[in-house]
Amino acid sequence: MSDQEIISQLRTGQHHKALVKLYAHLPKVERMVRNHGGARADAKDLFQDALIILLGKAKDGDFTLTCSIGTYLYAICRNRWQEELRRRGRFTQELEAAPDEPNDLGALLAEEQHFGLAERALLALGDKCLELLKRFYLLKEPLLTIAKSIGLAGEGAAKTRKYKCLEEARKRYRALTAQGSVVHIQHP
Amino acid sequence: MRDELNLMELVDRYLGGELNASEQAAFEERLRTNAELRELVEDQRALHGGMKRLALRPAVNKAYRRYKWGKWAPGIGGAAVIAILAVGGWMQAKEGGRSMEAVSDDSEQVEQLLTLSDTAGTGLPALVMMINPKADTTLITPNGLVVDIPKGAFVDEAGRAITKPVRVTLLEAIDGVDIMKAGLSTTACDTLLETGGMFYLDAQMDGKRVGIDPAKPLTVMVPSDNADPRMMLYEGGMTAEGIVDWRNPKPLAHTLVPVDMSTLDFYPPGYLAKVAELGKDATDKAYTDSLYYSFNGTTERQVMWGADTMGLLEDSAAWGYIPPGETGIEPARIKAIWNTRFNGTNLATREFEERMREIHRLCETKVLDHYVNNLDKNLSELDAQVKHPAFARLAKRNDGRVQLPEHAAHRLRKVYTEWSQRYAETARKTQEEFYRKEAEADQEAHKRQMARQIKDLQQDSERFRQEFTASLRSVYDQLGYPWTPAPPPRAAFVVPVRNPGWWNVDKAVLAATTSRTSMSYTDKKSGKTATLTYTPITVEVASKESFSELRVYLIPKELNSYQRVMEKDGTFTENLNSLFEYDVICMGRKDGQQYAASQWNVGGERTIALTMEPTEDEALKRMIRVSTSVVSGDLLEQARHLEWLEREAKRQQAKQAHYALRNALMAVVFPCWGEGWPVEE
Repeated sequence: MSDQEIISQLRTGQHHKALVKLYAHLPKVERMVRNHGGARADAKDLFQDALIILLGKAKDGDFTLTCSIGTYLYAICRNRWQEELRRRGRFTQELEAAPDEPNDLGALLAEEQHFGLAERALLALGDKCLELLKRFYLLKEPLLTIAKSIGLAGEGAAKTRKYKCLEEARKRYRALTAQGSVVHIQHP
Repeated sequence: MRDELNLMELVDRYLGGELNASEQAAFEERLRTNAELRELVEDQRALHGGMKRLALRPAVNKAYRRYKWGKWAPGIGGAAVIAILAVGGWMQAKEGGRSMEAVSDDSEQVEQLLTLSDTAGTGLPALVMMINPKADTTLITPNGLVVDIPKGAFVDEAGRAITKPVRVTLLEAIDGVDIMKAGLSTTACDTLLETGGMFYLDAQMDGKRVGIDPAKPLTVMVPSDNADPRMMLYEGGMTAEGIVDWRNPKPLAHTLVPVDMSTLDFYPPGYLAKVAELGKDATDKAYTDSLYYSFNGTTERQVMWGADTMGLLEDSAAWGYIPPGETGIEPARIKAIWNTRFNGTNLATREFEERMREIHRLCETKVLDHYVNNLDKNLSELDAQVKHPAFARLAKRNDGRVQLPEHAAHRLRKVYTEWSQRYAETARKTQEEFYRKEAEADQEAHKRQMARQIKDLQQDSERFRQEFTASLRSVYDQLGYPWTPAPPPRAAFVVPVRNPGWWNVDKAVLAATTSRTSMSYTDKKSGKTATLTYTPITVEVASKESFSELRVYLIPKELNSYQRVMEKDGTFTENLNSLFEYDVICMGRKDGQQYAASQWNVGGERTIALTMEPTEDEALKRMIRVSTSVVSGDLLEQARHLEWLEREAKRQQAKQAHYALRNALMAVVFPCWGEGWPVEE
């Protein structure tokens, strides 16, 4: 499967095979992370985050690759691991970049770092809150439908609950932002 | 709180692009001056981003499981183990365990314990992990052993589901070296066993061993290169001498592991490769599905076999028509089962995928029905009932089944029958509709072409009559004959002699007008000579090959008519009658656009060079510039005809491509299409 075919599969939502194929690039990331003070689990988390970033980008119609997908994923992982090592104060040397690595990842990674922390903040919410927010923001269900599904009195109650959940997520997100961690999510 | 709630909602609407222009401008103005609001927007934007990541993560996790799975998948179904369940243990793990990976479907984190304090002795490293019993968890060991722990599997002494974290310990001795190093025996009483691997599994909560709910057993899969159907599952028990003795052998139920339907391939073997070879996008499942399912129904096979849809099917035997059913599996039946409704059944397994390939090769619908109608039976049992060497080989693998809830098999059997009939009917109607429409369009096109040709012929006859009359009058004038209009010839090559007058002159003029060559005639009585002069002209059109339709016309200004210049040997050439002044007009079509060029008052030039430009009808009318609406109207009608010809050419092209594609795929979709019994690979 060529890179372009992978991108078009990621774009169409028929992405399972393409994602499985992309895991072929995981061992290289594992070597890089393990050679620089990390564990295999760190590598897996980094790589999965990179896949999510790629998947999100692929769904943007105007995304074009300027290098191979392997290089792109590796570049994301390398940059993020570099940042994590700096944060831990354990590494000052630059990790070696691939020759054709894109050099415009800065803004994307900064934004994704925030999204990653927000994801952690959301995961730390209770099941009910998370379900409500998922239904509202991802499934675009009307508040009245949500209220019926999760046993709330009505649209007003769902609205208030949504506000409280979002406020709680925001509080947790701000706390995480203050810590500034990069690779702490463990998604089994 | 109400204000804050409304503000958050406003921010949601802003981020979702739901504000109208004025609301957005006002909001952005507030943003510019209000730092707190900016912060809120940024936070909510991040939470939206986080939410999107949450939505994408299950796909990434699922792919990871498949990736890990794929590393040892060849051993599934052939797993052969000697196992001891944790009822007393057969060894203890030593200090310093290894980590293993856990895959869980919820977001709970799994705590990894890298050391053990209560192990010693066997030389085998222990794999230990704390798991959340409230979630489905899959453990994958470095040797590729997979332990699937369904949620609620662990129970306490009273049989109640445990909710607190459970520590799972796993020891594995898969190859001979590990088994010997651990000092494990491979005997059952005095019988020496051939081992496919051993594992030990223990689960504890707060230091006490927990039980396993019999209704939710753990599934352990051991990778194995050799699928030996004689392998059995033994439980280990400790003898008085402290040696493990293997007892209570049970046949290994090779439970099938269902996967998501969308990851399976039920197409006939070689279908995707052929689609790709034909230059189509074989990676787009929506397209390949739609193409494959469109082959359902017998209409097309009958048409392509030689009969047609217009009633010749009764005579199909004479064309060598093969009855449906013997050519391959109807795609409607595949569509009925290749559906998420059948997820979690025997059909949603890699094992059935293999059988599906054989069923396609066999071209026997009843074999497919056999598997679909018996979802509550082991695949090996069903394999054995198909009298075919390929299925006999599959039967030996002893593949089991996916456990189904009560009555599910019956419900799904009904679904299969109903859906295959429904899909078959829909496909039949679609195919018949397609061929009916094409046949109608062909007939309509034929009628239209004929009508045009007749009109062209009439128009050219009229043009000829006018030109002949004008030429004859000129010759009469030159010879000093009185002009008495003669009835015109009815056709160019028939010489009419209907008046007693100057038929020799008439004949000479007729011959010159017909052949469009110059003539000179001398009257023997008066000695006067009359001439008619035709001058050759060539019209060159720049990039003429780029036009799908191209026509060149001459418009003699003195006649109420026009003449088409035919292309001969790649050039447009004609002889011009010197009695008239001509305009040349060229019309063509390219990519759905009308093009035209013209030159007025041609005569002296031998070669006219024209460059076509995109031209609308109004500009075309100006180019034609003749006063009579008949000629102008006729030429515009010719322009419309060219437009239709271009569309028709495209339709024909698409039709041919459609036939070529389907013809090329027919033998793949229906492997027994005209080839007799399939050759087994």
